[in-house]
Amino acid sequence: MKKLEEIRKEYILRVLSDTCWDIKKASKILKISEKYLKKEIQKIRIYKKRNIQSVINLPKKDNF
Amino acid sequence: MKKKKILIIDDEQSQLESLEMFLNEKGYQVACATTGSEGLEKNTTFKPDIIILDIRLPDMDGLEVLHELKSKHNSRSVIIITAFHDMDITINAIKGGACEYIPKPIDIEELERAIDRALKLENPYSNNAISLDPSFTYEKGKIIGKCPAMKEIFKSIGILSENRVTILIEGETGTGKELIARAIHYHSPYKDHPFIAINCSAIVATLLESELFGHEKGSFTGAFVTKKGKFELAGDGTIFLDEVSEMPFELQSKILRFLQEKEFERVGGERSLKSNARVIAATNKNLWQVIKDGKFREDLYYRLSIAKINVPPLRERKSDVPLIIEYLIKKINTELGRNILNVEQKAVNRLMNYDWPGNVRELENVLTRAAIDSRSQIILDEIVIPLLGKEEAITTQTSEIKGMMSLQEVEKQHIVNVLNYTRWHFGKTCMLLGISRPTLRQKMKEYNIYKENNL
Repeated sequence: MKKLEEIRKEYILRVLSDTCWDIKKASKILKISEKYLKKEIQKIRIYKKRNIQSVINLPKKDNF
Repeated sequence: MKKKKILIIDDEQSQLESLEMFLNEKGYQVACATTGSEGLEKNTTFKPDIIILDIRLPDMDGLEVLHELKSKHNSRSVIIITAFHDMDITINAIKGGACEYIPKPIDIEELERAIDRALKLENPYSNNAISLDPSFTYEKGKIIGKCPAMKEIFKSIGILSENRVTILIEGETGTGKELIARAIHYHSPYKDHPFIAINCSAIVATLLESELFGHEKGSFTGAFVTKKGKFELAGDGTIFLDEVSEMPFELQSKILRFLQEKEFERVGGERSLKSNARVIAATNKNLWQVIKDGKFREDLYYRLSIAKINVPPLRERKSDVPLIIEYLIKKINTELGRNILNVEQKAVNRLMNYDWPGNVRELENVLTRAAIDSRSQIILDEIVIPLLGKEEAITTQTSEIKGMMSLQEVEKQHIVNVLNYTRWHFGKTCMLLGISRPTLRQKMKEYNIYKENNL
């Protein structure tokens, strides 16, 4: 079972990729305002960055 | 906590140094050796938990060293490193008991993961949900379960083996319907008579009749000899009709007659034959649906289901999963000649939370593959993860259907799903959704979620 927040994010990202990131179209499908969608995207961006960082922070290869 | 000791045996000085530096930094106590004999010597004095061994050494062959380590020093965790991508060496190293194999140039992340895994193997009794008692031997065809539903089934088996009524066993694929039929037969006073299983969907409809009832010589092309059917062969034993829902409609009436009169005729035969065989039928489909579709006779259904056993799917008896795993590992050990002793706690949890569309059969397959993949006496979580891929495929499929829903609809759908999953336990629902109780209440009000319309 996924958290509500995850479901929202996943679905928003899916609709965005389906519409090739056309904010206007995507917000129409999602039935939310463009402003609200942009805010949501901002949130997802932060979430994504954090995830990517945790992957990069693994041991450095410089030692070798 | 005591520092874990690692011994590195490698002839390349620069690599040795860098590995030593890296592992020291990670908090291991490290010793180095540049030749095989030095390595063996240090193994006795230093007593490492893990040995990292280069396969090419100046004085002796790495495989020899490995063999020596394994046989004389009883070292459990040896990680092999080699510059050559040589299949023979890999195979020999794994056979020789190396627990991991890493090719050069060394990917340091891979090495670290290998060390982690090896350490888990070092103390196999620390973090494992299931440890096998070696004295317990595997018994074939046992039915495993402690949950109430299974206890009911054991009771029914006890009662039904005393008499000879017809039984219908219902249950999803892989839940063990044939096992139950066999158990009933072998606990009955007629256990010395044959138990004959026949899968109604596996045999062509026209052949099924002669297969079940036999045929007279010359009754159709190719019938050169008179052949006895399964009912005749069973005598006083048991006939198990698997996937009875697939039985051709015309044949159903003949079975019905047999159930009523205990009489039948061979194909092309004139004489009526008698048989005392008991019939146990099984189906993985909802027979009522098949009846509605007009493919199964209602009267036959009543005849078959004088006694009925419902086998619960594995996902409805998750508490039994560890027990079943234990039993299956024993079985796999005897069949594959392996010696798996433990299953990691994380892996058990993962297996318990899986949906098991293929039920116990699927569990057995997953465990068998895990036992093959596992190079030691323990089944780790990492080995199990890739074997359970199907579930994700299903969830992505359902999200495909969602298509053009609004964000609110998606949210509502998910909340309803979780509520149904927790049987409307708000506390659990909040936890799963990761929201507070007031938020949940507000959302339910906003989306008009009531218990009545959604259950």
